[in-house]
Amino acid sequence: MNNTFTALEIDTLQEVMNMAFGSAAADLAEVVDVFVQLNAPDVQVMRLDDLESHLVAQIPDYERARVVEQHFRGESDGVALLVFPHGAEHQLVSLFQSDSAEILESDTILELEKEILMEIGNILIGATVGRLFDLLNRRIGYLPPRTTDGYAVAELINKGLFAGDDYAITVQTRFDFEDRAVSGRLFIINRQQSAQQLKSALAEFWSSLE
Amino acid sequence: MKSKVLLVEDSVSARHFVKSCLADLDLEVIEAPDGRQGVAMLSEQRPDLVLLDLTMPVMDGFEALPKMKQLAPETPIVVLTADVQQRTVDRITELGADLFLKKPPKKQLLLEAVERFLGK
Repeated sequence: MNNTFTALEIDTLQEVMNMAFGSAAADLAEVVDVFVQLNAPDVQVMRLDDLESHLVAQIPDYERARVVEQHFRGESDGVALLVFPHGAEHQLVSLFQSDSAEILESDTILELEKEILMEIGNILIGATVGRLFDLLNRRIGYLPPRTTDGYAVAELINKGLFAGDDYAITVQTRFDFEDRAVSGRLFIINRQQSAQQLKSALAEFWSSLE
Repeated sequence: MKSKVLLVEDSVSARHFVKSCLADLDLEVIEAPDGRQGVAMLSEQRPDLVLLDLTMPVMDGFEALPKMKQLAPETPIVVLTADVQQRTVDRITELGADLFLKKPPKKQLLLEAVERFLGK
């Protein structure tokens, strides 16, 4: 079975991811008053052994980063990770609060920050992954999302989602919330056993638009 | 003489798709992989229509669009983008875009837009 992705397949996956994330950003902008500055996505296929060092290199202050993690299953299997730098949750709260909002107790703020991370994760992951596989005409379902820290991503990699000498397909897009000084990254990591399905979907994508 | 369309798009597969959509029209399609080369080709080759992507490396569509409008104010520019936030649509309209098409464009919509601006 040939699971190597050609340059053209990776190019198509980048383009489809760009379309999916653009759609998700518009969904988020309808819920909160924010403009999402989009950047060109980066797609890489790498050995599982290299995945953690890749994430460490890509995510500043990796261990303390705030992460929303959501698994998906179906005609493609994998996990989406929405990653914000440590401390970003404080700024994200302002997206959902008016200037005149009451001053809250610190425990309440922590709970609120967690809820807001989950909400943003729900919108961006759900809309991006949903649109991505919708465009590729593949059905998937989701497991409930959870918030975690960067160090937990290593556990995720090591707890059996992937096989030992497997490859991971990462699709990363960096985005910035303009005027809010917050930026984040969305990673979609597909299990290698989904590679053949993904390759077939990519081959059919452009012709499906004609 | 054939009408000339400048396609500014970083994705090879998206360029291939657009060219295949336009294949039935009697057009010459020239290509640039980023905004900087797109601006240079507009200056040198004076196309009749520009199809411009927004999210590109080197120089994105937001930066290329006003430069193109300054160089060739009469040349229509159709922006193709996945970024459908209202602020983006407002911004590219202010920068002089003549039309906005959401990615992925349906072939029929793309053909109608090109035919409209080229008077075919």
